[in-house]
Amino acid sequence: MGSIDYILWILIPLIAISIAIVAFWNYLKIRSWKLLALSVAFALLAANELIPLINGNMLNYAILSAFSLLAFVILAYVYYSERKVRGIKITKLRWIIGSLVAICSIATLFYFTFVGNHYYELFPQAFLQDLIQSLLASATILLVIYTIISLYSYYHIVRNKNTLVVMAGFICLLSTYLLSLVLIIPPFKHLLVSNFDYITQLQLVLMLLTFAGYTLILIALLRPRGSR
Amino acid sequence: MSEESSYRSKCRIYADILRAIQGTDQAKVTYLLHEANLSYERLTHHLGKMKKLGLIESRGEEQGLVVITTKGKKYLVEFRKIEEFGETFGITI
Repeated sequence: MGSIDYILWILIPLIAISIAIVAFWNYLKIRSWKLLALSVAFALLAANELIPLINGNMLNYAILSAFSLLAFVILAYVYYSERKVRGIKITKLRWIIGSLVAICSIATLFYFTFVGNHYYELFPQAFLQDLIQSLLASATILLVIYTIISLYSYYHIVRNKNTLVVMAGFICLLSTYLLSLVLIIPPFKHLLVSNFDYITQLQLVLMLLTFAGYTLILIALLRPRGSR
Repeated sequence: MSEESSYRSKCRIYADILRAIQGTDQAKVTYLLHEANLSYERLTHHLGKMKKLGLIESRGEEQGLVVITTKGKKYLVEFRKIEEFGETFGITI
């Protein structure tokens, strides 16, 4: 591990918490539940980014992963309740997306529970970890879809540069979650476990993407207004 | 399940009323009814609250004229900033 890793470990939670603080500052002014939800979601994501800084206790990892899942559920709900997404027949789309996410959740849970790992009786915590990761995967799918919808609608409706920068940031963050799913899919998991260099390289890519994601979002929030 | 209409937040209603008032020097209730798209009961309720908050003040009680205060103007500026913050995230405030 080089010094860049340590710098990123410190910087990423700091940037994430800065976004949460900016959102909360705006919430204090206007008391809109959406701003509070954004603030809480980014605070939870910042907490999740503290994983590399804590001791390697499985329960701590599980709790922080659950924070991340909760953050994504909150963000998904904020976008779900958003009715400004025009140009798309959102009502039917919501039902289709909801059904797809439910099916994906059940399928991933079924896979990890009955097919993937047969050692849960010996290691109950492994089940907890896989359960959280599979739910995280479902939440990630949900957020990917909503990010695409938001990106599409805003590209066609608002064309706000700041919005596009935020969306780019979200896509970076989502890429990290999608890439980290590789770590739990058995063929890739076994390959990575057998080759330490791959894990180190993947971790660095994930950290750089996470850093880029949060930085883009913070830049968009701090950019001067009226850039439309 | 109707998805066409959406409820406005109290902050947005206040901003809509203030924008309508700011569009003219002084606004009548009937004008605001149309511009803010509210029923008479809801409008008078909100106007009462806004007067207590110091965002607007009455001018000519008999005619029911209202004007925007300095605090009201500041509110509009702040609301616009937060509105843009929300838009950055793709959400409406």
